[in-house]
Amino acid sequence: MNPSETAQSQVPAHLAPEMPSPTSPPADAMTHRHMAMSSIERLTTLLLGGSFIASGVMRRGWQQVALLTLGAGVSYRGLAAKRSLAATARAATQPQELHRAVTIQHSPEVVYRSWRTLENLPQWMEDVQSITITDERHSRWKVRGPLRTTVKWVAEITDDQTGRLIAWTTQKRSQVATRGTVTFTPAPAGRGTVVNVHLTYQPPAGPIGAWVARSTGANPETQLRHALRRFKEIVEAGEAPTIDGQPMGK
Amino acid sequence: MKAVCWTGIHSMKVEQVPDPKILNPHDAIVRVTSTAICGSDLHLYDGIIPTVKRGDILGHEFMGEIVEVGSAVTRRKVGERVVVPATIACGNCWFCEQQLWSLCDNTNPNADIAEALMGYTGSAIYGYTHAFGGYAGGQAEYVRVPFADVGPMPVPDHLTDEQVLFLTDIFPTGYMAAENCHIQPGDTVAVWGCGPVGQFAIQSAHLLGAERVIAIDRVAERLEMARTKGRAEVIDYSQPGQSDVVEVLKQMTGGRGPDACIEAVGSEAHAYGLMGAYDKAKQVTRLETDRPHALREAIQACRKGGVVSVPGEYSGFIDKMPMGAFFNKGLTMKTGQTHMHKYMRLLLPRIEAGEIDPSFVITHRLPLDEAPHAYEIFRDKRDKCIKVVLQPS
Repeated sequence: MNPSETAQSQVPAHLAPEMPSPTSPPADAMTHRHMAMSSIERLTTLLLGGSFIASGVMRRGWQQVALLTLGAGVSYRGLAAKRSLAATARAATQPQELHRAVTIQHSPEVVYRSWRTLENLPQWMEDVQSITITDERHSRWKVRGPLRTTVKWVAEITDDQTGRLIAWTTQKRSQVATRGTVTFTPAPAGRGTVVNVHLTYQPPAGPIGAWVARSTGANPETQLRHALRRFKEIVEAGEAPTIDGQPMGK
Repeated sequence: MKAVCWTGIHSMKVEQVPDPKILNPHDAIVRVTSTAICGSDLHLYDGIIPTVKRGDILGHEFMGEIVEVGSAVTRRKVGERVVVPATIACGNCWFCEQQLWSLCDNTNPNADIAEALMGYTGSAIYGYTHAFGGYAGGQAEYVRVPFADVGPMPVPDHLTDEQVLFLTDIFPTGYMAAENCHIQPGDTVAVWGCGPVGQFAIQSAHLLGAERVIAIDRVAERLEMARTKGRAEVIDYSQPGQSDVVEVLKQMTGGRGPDACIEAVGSEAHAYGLMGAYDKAKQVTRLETDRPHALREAIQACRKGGVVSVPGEYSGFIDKMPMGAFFNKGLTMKTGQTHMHKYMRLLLPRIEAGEIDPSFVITHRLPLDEAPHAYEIFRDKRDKCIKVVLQPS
């Protein structure tokens, strides 16, 4: 039997139905998809695109390429006037589903224990400022949001199977709505533990927050990728590699 | 401290920079006593490999004395004289457990860049671009060494720096290239490129029992070194009558071809004629990142069912790869960054036993201050330069 299927079937029933299917986007996103741009939006879009191009021209290297590409893309949007940025932002506020896997060279028990020790999470989740454990199942989170904001929530562990699975959800009235499960499955022939993370994520601060988060690079996909990499580095190697603070010439 | 910094294409400067500090608990600081310029540093000097930044300290071949250790270092001690492998490995991931040290999962802080380029990241390398971690290198008075319990190997006092320095990279690299050939009794091994790695590949092929070694280059003093120090037969492809290397090799091997071909040239291969001009033009215009002339020739020349072993460095994409010849002749290719941690420990006893003295390859000994000059003569193969060792003090 496929080990990941075993893990899937252990996801508690009360979590599964709530997760929207990626194949059928919610109706809200569909209605905005082909919404035409107003002339003010067009003008704003063209100005924005132009400013990216202008700042791109003055730079060199990767930054130049990135800014010029971004500027060209935004300007094209303004000229073609197919779909407004506002509509794009609205679409981005739909709950996002993420899945990511990593294999760690330790037993499921060790890997589970490292994850379950919530106090250590800020070491490998770069944006987490603090986690306060309130009881066996509840914790209060303070996380850096986009543009120096702080986002807070209370997380509740909804399922906890030692060495196998942890499931959690944020409580109502939290600033973000997120649900997730992490499973720990032994890999064959001494290849460690496969860690599978499934996350459903509602971006903070509505459409603007989502747009800002994406354009500043702080999107959940990147955050999850970085978090899992650091988790693996810390569990396997005992530290995350860094070059911050090393000497360099002029 | 003084450090050799990359300040642009064909521009190295010795600059005054802050001393390195312990940044992670498994770090150590090493006072460098000897360091060398590697052929692969020339790819950075020439601007062939992207993600070097202005001010980066280069150098991945260095040794010295441990002067400070981090709080989690248990096996290494201050005062020990060590050689440091060019690649950085954590020692705990699955790849390290398999002795595939250069494929370590956990040492590249810029894994994002490497994953975008290659799908997955390998281990970091000192002073060798930000795609490979961006770690400050060892062409300096001091260097920070991460995972100090895993990489640095103590060396006995009766061996000189020059005898053990090349355990950091080029001797293991030549040795792994020869080992990848699975040399059988009676085998002929052909080696493209008689630079330092080629020289160690030639010597290692003999150590591993090759019947004959044939070396290919166009630089007289390098061919001379291969012949006298490496007991190799040589092909100088710049000479009339020897330019068709595939044909010359065929006739030297009874019409059969070499059993294994080692390509110790890499991405900046020199070639005469139309094909050489074609690759150069494509590389300059960035239509290909690497010039694979020697690789093509090795595939063409190799006997059916043989092995093409590639220690020569490639960073990106090549063009006109003779896949038909490779497939229809049933060849095997073995390649990769060297698993230094494994081979340096295997090869130190061979140096101690006097089976090989790696210092034979050194042609220039210069103070660190003269690094810019050293890069220039090494790149241009001027002044009969084959290998430069730099002394920081």
